[in-house]
Amino acid sequence: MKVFLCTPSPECFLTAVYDAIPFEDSVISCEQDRQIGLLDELIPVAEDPEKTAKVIRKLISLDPCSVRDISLALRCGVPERADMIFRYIKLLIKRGRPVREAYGYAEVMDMESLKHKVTHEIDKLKGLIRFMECEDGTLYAPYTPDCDITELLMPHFLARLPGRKFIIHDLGRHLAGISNGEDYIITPAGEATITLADCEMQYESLWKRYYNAVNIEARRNDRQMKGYMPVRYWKFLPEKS
Amino acid sequence: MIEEWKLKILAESAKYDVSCSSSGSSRANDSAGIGNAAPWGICHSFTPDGRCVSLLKILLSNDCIYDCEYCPNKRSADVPRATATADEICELTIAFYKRNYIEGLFLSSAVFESPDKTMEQLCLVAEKLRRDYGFHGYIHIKGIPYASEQLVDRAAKVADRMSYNMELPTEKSLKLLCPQKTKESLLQPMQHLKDSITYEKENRLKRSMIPAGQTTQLIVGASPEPDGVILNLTEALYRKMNMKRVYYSSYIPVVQSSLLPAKGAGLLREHRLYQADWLIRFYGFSVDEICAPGENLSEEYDPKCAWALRHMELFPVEINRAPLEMLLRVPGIGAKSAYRIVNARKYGAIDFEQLKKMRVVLKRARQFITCKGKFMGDGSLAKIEESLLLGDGTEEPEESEQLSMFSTPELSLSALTGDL
Repeated sequence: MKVFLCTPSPECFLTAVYDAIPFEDSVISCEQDRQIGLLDELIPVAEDPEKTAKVIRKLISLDPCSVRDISLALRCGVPERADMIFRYIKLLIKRGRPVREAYGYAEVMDMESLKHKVTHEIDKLKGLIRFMECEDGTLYAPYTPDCDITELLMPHFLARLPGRKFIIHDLGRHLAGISNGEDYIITPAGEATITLADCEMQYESLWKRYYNAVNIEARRNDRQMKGYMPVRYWKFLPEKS
Repeated sequence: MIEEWKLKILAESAKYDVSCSSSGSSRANDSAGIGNAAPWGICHSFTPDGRCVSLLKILLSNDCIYDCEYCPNKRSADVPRATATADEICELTIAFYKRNYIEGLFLSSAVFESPDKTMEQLCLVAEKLRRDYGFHGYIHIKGIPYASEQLVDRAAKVADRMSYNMELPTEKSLKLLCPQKTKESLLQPMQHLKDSITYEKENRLKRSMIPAGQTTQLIVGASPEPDGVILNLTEALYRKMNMKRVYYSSYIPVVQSSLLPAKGAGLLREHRLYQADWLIRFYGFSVDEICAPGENLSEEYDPKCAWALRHMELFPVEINRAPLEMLLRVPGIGAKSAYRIVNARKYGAIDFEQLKKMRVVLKRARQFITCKGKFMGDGSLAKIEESLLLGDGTEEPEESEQLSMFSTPELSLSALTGDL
């Protein structure tokens, strides 16, 4: 079995698709430390713009939404996502027409679940990201999402906070979205040292006070709370510290 | 900056108003101010009671001239009083909003001096927030009964949503527990707002008033009316008042009174009402189908299941041919699953394995469907009822506790697990 190893970027993945498609039992993986079998062949894939362009043309001719779906699904944090998307592409090529809504196929439901994980996390984190005000007025928000969604969150906060500088820092992937109030960039970013504004701790304290005041103890339902607000996101919530 | 003790008093007083959503309004920023309104609403946090926090829900003042039986802030109650200034509230809203703690402000108040004076102050706070602080996010203003129409219009022009709480489903209960609020004082401003919005629509004017519409709240369990009465009122409010949401709040004995029940209503009844509300709004059910006027909703089964069990002559339906409206009536098939089935069957006939992958709850649905002609349910009605009862998992029997001198309302209520 051939295992094609690529990076999570869409360009590299599509090059891997181009290379892997001719082989019947090939598999694509983004995980560098994936286990391979004794008889498997590991083939690293380097990005090739020509191959990528060919694959994109083919996919768009079959389903105009496919490339967007694939980019979204690649952002998911699930380790086996590359192969799940590859099997979806093979199905799409086999059927020769859009299969986005053919929920009877396992490949389509798998793709749905990848896309859903990404969009669901975006929706959750639009609410759960917490900014801290720095000395110079910049708003800084660290977080550790499962999926690679910083780029998709930036437009939302740019519309929400026009004219304000803000930073959203993905600590797990070491990258940050930085905005000057008018536009934004995504850049690699290691550890950050920030100086908080004087009033910051007071506002956090007011928020904690508010959070406790608004709770109705007689209706306690921890299971429901954790269902809507998973514990893995609590690290950066002042009200949960 | 507002002081913590003041925030505590004013937030605690506002928490029993369960209207929580920040959805329904899309307001873009004009790049001079701060904030925008997201039409789908955003939940920023969840408290240990499982409810979402999306707005800064606060009273302007809890110093009330009225003496409503069920209210912890009634005039005769000996509780600490506080009043916030407009700047304190505006500053706090902006500070929380910047930090992504909230989507906006939910502003209510006890009635101080007079209804008009109170409503005017609420308008002033909201106008200050919009104009001086440049806030483009979500604002929900509580309507004060008996305030003049001009003030109501003034509030509606700056708010995204307004609400008047009906609290009790009949005039009789309202007279008993809150004689200062009459049915007219609540329905009349709701009607006025509805008419103002209709006027704008029909004259093709730009929508300037409460883009997210109106909501209301009903207390469940403080008065003897059955669920059928509550649901009929709900349907009338949706239909005649174009209400966006009706919220139900389970009665919790915050105040001891001879006119009020000593025990809380329990959360199951509220849960069933919300389920029925969803069936009315999204599943095409009418109130008569769900519940007769003099009856309560079933405790053992959710309303959809209960309806299906009463109409077994319509089942089983064939998954690959049944119309969407019938699929929506199958217990275990929700709106999303029904949509998936209708789309998937264009590509080929579906079987049970594929249904499972589409996240249909087969444990329940199998009693009511066939797949390619094959039926996997139980034979007799009794067995079906039993399997649906075990499969529900949302109810647990409430333990009743004899209240003693040392019981607090918090101790004597047990919260039930369940989805809402």
